[in-house]
Amino acid sequence: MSKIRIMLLMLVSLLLVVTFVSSSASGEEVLVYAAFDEPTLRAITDDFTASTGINVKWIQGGAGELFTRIRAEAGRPGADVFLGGSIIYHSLLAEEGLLAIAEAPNAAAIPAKFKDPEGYWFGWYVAPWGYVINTKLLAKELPGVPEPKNWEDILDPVWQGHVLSGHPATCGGGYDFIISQIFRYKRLASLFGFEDPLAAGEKAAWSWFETFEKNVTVFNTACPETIALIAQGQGIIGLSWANDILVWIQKGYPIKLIVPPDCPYAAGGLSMIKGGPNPGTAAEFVNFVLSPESQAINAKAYRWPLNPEVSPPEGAPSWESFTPVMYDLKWAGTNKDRLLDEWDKRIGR
Amino acid sequence: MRINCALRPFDLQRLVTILLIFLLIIFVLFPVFRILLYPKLKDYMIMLSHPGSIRAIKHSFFIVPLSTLTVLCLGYIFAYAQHYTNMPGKKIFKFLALLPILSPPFIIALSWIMLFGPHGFITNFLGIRWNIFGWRGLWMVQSIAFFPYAYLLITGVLEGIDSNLEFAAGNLGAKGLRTFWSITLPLSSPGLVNAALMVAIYVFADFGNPILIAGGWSVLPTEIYRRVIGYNDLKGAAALCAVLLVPTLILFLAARKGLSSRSYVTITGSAIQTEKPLVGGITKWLLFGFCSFFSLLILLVYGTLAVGAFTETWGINWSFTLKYWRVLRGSSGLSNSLLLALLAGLGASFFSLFASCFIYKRRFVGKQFWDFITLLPTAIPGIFLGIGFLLAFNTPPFVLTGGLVIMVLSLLVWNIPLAYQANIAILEQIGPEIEEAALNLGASPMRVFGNITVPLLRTSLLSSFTMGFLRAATNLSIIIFLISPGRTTATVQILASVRYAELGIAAVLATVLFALALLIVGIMYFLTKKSMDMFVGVR
Repeated sequence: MSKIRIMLLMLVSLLLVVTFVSSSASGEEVLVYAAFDEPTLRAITDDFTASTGINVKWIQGGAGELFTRIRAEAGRPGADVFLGGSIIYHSLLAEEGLLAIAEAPNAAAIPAKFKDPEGYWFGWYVAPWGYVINTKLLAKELPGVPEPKNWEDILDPVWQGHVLSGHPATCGGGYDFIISQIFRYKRLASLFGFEDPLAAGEKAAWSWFETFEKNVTVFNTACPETIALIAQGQGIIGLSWANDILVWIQKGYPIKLIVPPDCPYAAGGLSMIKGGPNPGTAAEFVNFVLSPESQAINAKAYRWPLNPEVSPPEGAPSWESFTPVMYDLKWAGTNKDRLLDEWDKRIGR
Repeated sequence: MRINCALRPFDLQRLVTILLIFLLIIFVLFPVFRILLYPKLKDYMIMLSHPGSIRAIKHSFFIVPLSTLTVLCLGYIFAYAQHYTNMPGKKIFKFLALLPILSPPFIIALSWIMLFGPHGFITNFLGIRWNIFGWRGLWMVQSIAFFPYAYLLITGVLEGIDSNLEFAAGNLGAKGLRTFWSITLPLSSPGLVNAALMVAIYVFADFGNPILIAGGWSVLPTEIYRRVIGYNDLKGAAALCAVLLVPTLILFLAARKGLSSRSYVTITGSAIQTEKPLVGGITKWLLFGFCSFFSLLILLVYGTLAVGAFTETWGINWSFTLKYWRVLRGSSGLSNSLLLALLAGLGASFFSLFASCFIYKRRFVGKQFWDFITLLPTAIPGIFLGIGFLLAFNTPPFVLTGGLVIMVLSLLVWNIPLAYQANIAILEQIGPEIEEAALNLGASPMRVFGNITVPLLRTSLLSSFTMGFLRAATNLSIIIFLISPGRTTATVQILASVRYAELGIAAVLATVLFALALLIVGIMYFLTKKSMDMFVGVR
């Protein structure tokens, strides 16, 4: 009997310690849904906490995943701020009335094209999407096969079983990838004088994906997963965000980045969720993320800052060297559900 | 039980029973019916004709028999080696065999990719070529992850076999494995079927392994998850949950029927020979070889993680680093996991204590039904429970979402059957005589409960707390639907780290979680007088 008492005592004290530890950081806080990498997120939030005393709590997820969550929680959001993820998602949320206007003086420096005129959302960095290639493995497994330089090379059956990509329903880049292929073909279709170039572009894009899919082993839930797997040699070639790929190159893996012409790109977004539990601290946090200090931290993770005062990432190609496909942000947002259904029907994985 | 017959109609006992039934209605029946009734008939039709769900259903029905059979074979060989040989290192084998229970199952998938991926560590070393993503990898990983459960269940079965028959066969001249084929295997087959049914339920509900290693090869739980996070299609997801519940419920009912028709051979009290006839010679050493190989594999899986937690960059830069351990500073995931696991473990133990005394031991109208409902969460896949709680408690009258409360409650409900069964197993054995004696001597029923029943259930309470703690700390499938910022768990953080390609961070969190689980088990091991009975709940 005494042993039970001892045990109960131990448990209760352990419980108290745990509760104490987890509640000791109480005080002002801001809750964040972050489609973002942990180290950069931590660096930015540590800075924010140091200068304001406000604690930041977050959960990480794929942009599509968090977007779905905010939509599902409509009216009773579990967080104050949505950080990262393409502005497609942010603009769509604004359209659906799920965001709040954030007063952010630091947003003044952001080019008008990348922010909402009313202040519902802000783009704060851009990044292209490209190939990550395990060069060592390529030489070993497919000697003599040239690296893909464009969007047609990857359709070669020689790549079958060697390609990894991201799932468009959960990984933001996977959806941007679809959009960029549609608008790439749209441009071609209008050059050839199609009556409805967008519809023709979409049709061509789907047939492109249906061929592409045959070479793909896995569509990962989150985009960075792809890079890790390629870096470890679980596949030869992957598709993911250039900034994340550059971080992984820095770690010393035998991988390289190729950004083909007509690459998909996304402006990473930031917005305040309507009805969040801490609107005051949320606005402060949004303003801080847009500040040159935080953008400089972010540039260390090879994201190209949209604040022109901040210098571009060192050791990365210049933004001007890319030729991203321009797309209609609004179309990309309003057609999202339909395109994902289409993906489900045609690709279905 | 007789003791209650003479009591007044409106007494405290009845009140407790009613309270328990009320809780079961809100936290078990309500979420289940919320899911079943949430989709309209139309949504069911859409989901059942959807190519993605058809594929997932096919995959589930392919992998479950495959993994279950493999797990059973492995578990049988291991348990047989433990009981029928005097091979060296039995204790170490037993310890290693149980390790996978202590870690989130998907940790094995993570480590497996690092070791056996198409160009992983071992694969490269051996120069083999295979595609680990898809069903092959899932099959291998599930075989390790669910192996301990089969091992424990089969150990129970083998212990229940009266060895007199085996000795008799040996005396009559049966040589080598003849006794095994003609006596041991036939005698253990009813229990084996039961073990198969239970393991199959676990495999059906498995979410963590397929999400990491099966890639695009979706099974029902991963397809349900994708419907929710990718498409926000809660109706479709709920419909698929209902589909998933059909096989698990059938398996559960079959297992229950098997149990009730089987006599409790171990607890009849009549003399039963538990010393086993030992096999020797080449069979013994073959079994020894098998156990060594499998134990080494398990060691390798966890060793890989521990090394990964201190390695600068896995596979490239093997230099030692502590930088990933910084994640523990100010991370709420681990402390939340610990808190949830403690509360869910304690809660389930307390609830089941009351349930076994005030539902199982009392006689009242509908008792069998409520007994069944108490055990029902066994049949409910984690993913079903998670979505069920999400749907049931995010609208009035019960708004609980967005806090730790809902997470504790869901894990608690999930753990109730284990604890309840463990208590019942003890109550079946001790009989009502002691309690009757106390009543006759004038003790009030509540005093009997506190002074006699609770102390008698000591071991089962400790063991069910341990198992409940471990299951809650390593759960992902329920929790993943209920997290919010600052209210996340180590398992969810590990999954996110893997997704964000932060293998060092994932390895640190996994190692610490594993060490904490080991610590708790260690404490319990000494509290239960160094017996492994804490795992009895699994049986």
